[in-house]
Amino acid sequence: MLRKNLHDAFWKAVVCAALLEFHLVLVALYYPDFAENVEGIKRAIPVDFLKSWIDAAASRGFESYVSMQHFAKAINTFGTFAAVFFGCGAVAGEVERGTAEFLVSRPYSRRRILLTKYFVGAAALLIPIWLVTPSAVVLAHYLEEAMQICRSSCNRSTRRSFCWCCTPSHSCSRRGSPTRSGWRSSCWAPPSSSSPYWW
Amino acid sequence: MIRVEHLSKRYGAFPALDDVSLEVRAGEIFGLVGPNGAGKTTILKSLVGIVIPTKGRCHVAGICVQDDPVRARRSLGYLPGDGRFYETMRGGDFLEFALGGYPGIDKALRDELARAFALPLAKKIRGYSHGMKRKLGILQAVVPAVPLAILDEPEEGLDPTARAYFLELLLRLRAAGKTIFLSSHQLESVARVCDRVAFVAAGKLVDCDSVPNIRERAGKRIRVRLQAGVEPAALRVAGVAEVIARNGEFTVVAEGDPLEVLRRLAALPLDGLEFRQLRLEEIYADLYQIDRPQ
Repeated sequence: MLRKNLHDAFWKAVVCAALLEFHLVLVALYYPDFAENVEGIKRAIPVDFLKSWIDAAASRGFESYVSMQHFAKAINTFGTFAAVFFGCGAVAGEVERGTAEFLVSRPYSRRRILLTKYFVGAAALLIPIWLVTPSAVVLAHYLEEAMQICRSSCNRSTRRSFCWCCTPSHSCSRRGSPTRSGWRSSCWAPPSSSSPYWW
Repeated sequence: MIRVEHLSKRYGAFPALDDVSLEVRAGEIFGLVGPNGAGKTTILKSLVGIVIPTKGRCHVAGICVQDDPVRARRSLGYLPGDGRFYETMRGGDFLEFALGGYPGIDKALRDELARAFALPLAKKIRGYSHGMKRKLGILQAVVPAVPLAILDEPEEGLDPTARAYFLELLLRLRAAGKTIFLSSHQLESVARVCDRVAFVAAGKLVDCDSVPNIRERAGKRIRVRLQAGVEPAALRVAGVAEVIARNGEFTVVAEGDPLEVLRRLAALPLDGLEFRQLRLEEIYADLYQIDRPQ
């Protein structure tokens, strides 16, 4: 019963993870812009609570990045979509495929059938998040390399808006002072194990 | 083993079942026959607790299906008639899921059937032919170590070899003490293996008896073809209970001694006369007044 439902949910979870990872890449690419434009974003957001949250996010380097990407992955939006999408399919799919009759003829109660579907479905939404999050470290490493390559080959006269890696450094407060030379690798260093944003 | 009491099921205004009562004894093979839409599948589904009857109750192995469907399902194997299986699962994984909820299974029988049916258990069900899927369904219905198997048209889709093997299997299972309740359109196999048969029509139980008894009763029927111009009323000689006209032929149902009636009929200007043990198919056709396509 459990195995059968895991089998059903496996590709959903893979799709979920792929979408999250894709989103994570996008967020990683745009993080410098985010850091750059913190003030502008703050001006645009009228709510004090959110302003302070953005302050916190902008001032903490990698941890803030992890928390940012958690936020930016839009767990509430994406998660809601995914939950509705997968949740509908869990029971309707059985009817659609004509397997509902077989499923309910097994010696399990309807409650058990539905609860198994519920928990396996929840796991299919949560596990991708847990799996994708650590990949931020790997992603950060490669992004750093990519940016160094980009920086060394970049002509300073290139229009800044065109090449994001050459934009002036953002504020990277805790791990060192901002420099004019662009990104500091320390901004992307793996966090200390005591960091509350890391698990 | 199975007790159905005054079972009725309405789908809106359509009465799928109307006050059906029957009993299946432990250790017998019981066949349910009838035309499409007669309510065979609805009876079977009620026994498994998939269909909730409008009225009446069903008991399997002493458990009321309506009160405790899970315990009832745990004591029977079930082959759905029209249900499809999980196409993306491998045969072996599917079996593991299908048999997982039972208190125990007959592993030797499972392996034997998988070999006899030549089921590719490592392959995904998507790649199975229709017949293979049906064989997989039969396997998962008879392998659980439970006293009862409910099979909805088990022979559908089987080739003649597999069908013969399946009938042998049924007899073997009965010898091992299993009760089998099946619906079928294959009347010759029903006549061969079933201890008792129930005829269903339009949601009602028409007849329910052992195959020899049904034959015995039907054996009093005489088929007659009259010469042109002779009134069919002439067939109503002494000792005749009923005359059924069909396809230009007449079936004369004798009330008492059929030989007596035969002698009297022989005196009429006949074109032909036939008196023999009827096959179940013919009884079926008589019962449901089915005409051959003209």
